[in-house]
Amino acid sequence: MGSFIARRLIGAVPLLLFVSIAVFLLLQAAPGGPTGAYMRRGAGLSGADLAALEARLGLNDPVHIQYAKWLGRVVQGDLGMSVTSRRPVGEEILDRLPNTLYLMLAAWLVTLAIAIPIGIFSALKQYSKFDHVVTSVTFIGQSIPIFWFGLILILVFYLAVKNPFTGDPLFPAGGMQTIGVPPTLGDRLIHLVLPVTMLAAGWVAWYSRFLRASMLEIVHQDYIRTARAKGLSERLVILRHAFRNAAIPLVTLMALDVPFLFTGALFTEVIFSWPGMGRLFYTAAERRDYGLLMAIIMITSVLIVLANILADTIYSWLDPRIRLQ
Amino acid sequence: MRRLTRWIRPWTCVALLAMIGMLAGIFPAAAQEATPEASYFSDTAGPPQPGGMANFLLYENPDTLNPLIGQTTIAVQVTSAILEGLTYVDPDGLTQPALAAELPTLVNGGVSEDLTTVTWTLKPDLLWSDGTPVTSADVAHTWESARDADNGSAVASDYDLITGIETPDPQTAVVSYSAFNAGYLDQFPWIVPAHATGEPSEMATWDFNQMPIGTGPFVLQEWSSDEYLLTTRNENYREESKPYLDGINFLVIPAEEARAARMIGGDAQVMIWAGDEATDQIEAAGTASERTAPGVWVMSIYFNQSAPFDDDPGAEPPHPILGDLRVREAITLAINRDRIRTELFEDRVLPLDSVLQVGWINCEVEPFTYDPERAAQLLDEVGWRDEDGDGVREAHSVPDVEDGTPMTLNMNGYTGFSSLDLTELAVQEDLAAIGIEIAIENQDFAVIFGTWADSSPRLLGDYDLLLYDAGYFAEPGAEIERDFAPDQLPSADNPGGGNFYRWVRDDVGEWLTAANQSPDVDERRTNFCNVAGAIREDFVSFPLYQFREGGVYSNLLHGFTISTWEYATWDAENWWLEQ
Repeated sequence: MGSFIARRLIGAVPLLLFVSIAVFLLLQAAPGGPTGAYMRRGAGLSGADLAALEARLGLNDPVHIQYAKWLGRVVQGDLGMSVTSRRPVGEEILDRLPNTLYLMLAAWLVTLAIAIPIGIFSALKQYSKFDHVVTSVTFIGQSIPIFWFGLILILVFYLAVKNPFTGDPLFPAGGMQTIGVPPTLGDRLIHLVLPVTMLAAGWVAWYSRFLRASMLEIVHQDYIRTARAKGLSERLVILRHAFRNAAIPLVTLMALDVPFLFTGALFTEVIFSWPGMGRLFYTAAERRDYGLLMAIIMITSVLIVLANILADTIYSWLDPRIRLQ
Repeated sequence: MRRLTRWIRPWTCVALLAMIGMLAGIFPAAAQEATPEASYFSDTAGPPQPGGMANFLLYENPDTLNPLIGQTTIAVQVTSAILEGLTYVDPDGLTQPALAAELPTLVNGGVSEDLTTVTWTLKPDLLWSDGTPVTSADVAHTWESARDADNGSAVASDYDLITGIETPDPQTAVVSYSAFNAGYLDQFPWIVPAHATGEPSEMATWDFNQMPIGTGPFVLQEWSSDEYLLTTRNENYREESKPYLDGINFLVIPAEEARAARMIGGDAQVMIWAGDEATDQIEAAGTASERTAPGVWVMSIYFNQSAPFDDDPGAEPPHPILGDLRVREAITLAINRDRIRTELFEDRVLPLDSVLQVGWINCEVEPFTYDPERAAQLLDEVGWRDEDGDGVREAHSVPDVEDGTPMTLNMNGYTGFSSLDLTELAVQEDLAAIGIEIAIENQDFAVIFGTWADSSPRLLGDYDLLLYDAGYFAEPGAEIERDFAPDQLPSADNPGGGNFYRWVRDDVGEWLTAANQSPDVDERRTNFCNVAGAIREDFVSFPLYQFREGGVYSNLLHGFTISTWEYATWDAENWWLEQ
């Protein structure tokens, strides 16, 4: 297994290099540039100052020179400066990463806590009323536009429904905390409710449908029938034999989702003003902040490669019949 | 500027319409009255009640709070609550002293007879928010930091004419110029503290850029990037008992619908540049009202008078279609500006005939008229007639144009601005009615407004018609000269030139020189208005309408005045909340 991982890691290097070149060229090909935000007269920069700024940022160099300079810095561990905030890119990412992980892990945990039992029961009670309801609701959950759903959550739980005791909105409309007061766990959790609901709605649908399909396949296998025949309790049959096997593809799916814990959830962060990685990427893309964009995209690419290797490894570990070549 | 309507999508409209329906009965009607007949809105309710925090909504995170290294227009809204300069511009467009004790003039001896030395005196007992005295050394430090682009300065060219600053005493800064700077009163819109910044050569990396110390009414306490900026009152502010508010929270909320919800919910007090739909929805809920002033931004059509795509950035040869003044006049006669203003924008925009018809210059020019029949006559005269009956005129003995060439023009705007899109369609329709075919081709903002090195088609002269919004700030002398002087055609040798219409008139150059070499306001105005008259006479550009500037303000917030010349927080020391 060690040599498998080493081979995969070495093989990833040219892939990542190719990705970096492709992304760099695509970013450069897109119209505009990092100084676009200063081109309006409202921002107060004259043509001469703009030209000086572009020259100082090296934007007038040929693309291959710009790429070589970027690569030279990155291999030395320097991700460069954000042209938007004039801060090191690494600091920008480290500032946002905890916020994103906090939101995404909370949403993930809630998703698993809901999706796993629903998926199992839905499969065990196939074609029951419960299954029909779950199938319909998850179908809706997968289909609704997430942006719209977030706005509806604000409409209902911030504007329409009030706390009966205080008259305040039931949940805050956004942000991570109440500003200007000492942070408390309760305050942080209350701010999590709506964004986690928005995220989990889609994920629960996806995960539970996946698990239901996986369970349905397993429960009709001979070894499940054998387990029942040897007199094991239904609980043991389901949890030890059926679920553990049905969970294998689920774990793979989860491993592949790990990079998205890093990238954040753009729509959720935008709607609920959550200062996470999704927003950072969105702003960087709008401002053509090449250094920051390249850093986020390349870190994401590395994580995707690692997650794939992790998924393959876990898969073989969970199912010894699978051999890694 | 209302760029945010792009956020509105059909399904978000559904959500927000539902929101209005549910809330229409919850909130009481607005109790505040606008000042009648004022050209700008000023809330004069009183007496002020001290205390309370106001929430000010931003649509994006500020990039930096140091205006000397270049800020986005959203970042300056925060900066202007924290930092000040020697002067500010009042709502009438007139410069007034801020940290300066008075405006230096020839009469009071603040400006030398040869016009090259300006002496500034600071108000007495000024303190930075950390309690350190403000001195003339801070003025000199600001210049030292801002004058060199290598320091990271984005405003270096504004300081080109200054040769030195002497500080004979802590209250006095004597600024020497190599030549008279007509915009000397606007020279120091920001002053940064020498003690709380750093070496000028390291300005790009000052901690100050994220956590500034200023003399403004509020002090930044905390900046949680992309979430909020918390400011509290500056206890060392120079005006007794001001600011009235305990602080302002600047909340960063990118989604317009989410910002509108905060306003409707009464949790926020100011939302600038709200889209029309969001404004209507918030006003319908009754918690806040739109407050505006006539803005500096004017939507205009710009005519290229030189042949495009000829690899020659000069004025010659003339544009095959637009080089003839009668064609440009015909285009202005054929476009129904009243219809655009009243039907498309429901009178949210204002009529205007010159981009120089604003501020202290305020030139009167002959109004443009709508007369499509006269437009058709003019085109017939020139030789652009539709003889083949296909609805598009073609050339018939037009000088330097091959017979049969269709009268087709490209019109470039920038993408992502729905007001601009609507205007283009209306212009296209009006011009089609007299046989001019318009091909709309919008480009990214940074393409239209790019630099010479970016190969911006505007600067290269590779366009027919441009349509976008632009305007001048309170001291526009240098910009007007850059945009209209005959020696300011953009080229490789003059990449910063702004005369992209390629309009060459020597008398205009003389008027501009006279305007920018005189300290006399009336003389300057006369010369600028001569230029405005020439622009009108030669149909260099065609102003369609003027935007209003402002935002949606809570009905419980008072004391504010909307000024198009400054940023929304320019008078934040006067704001107060009805408890």
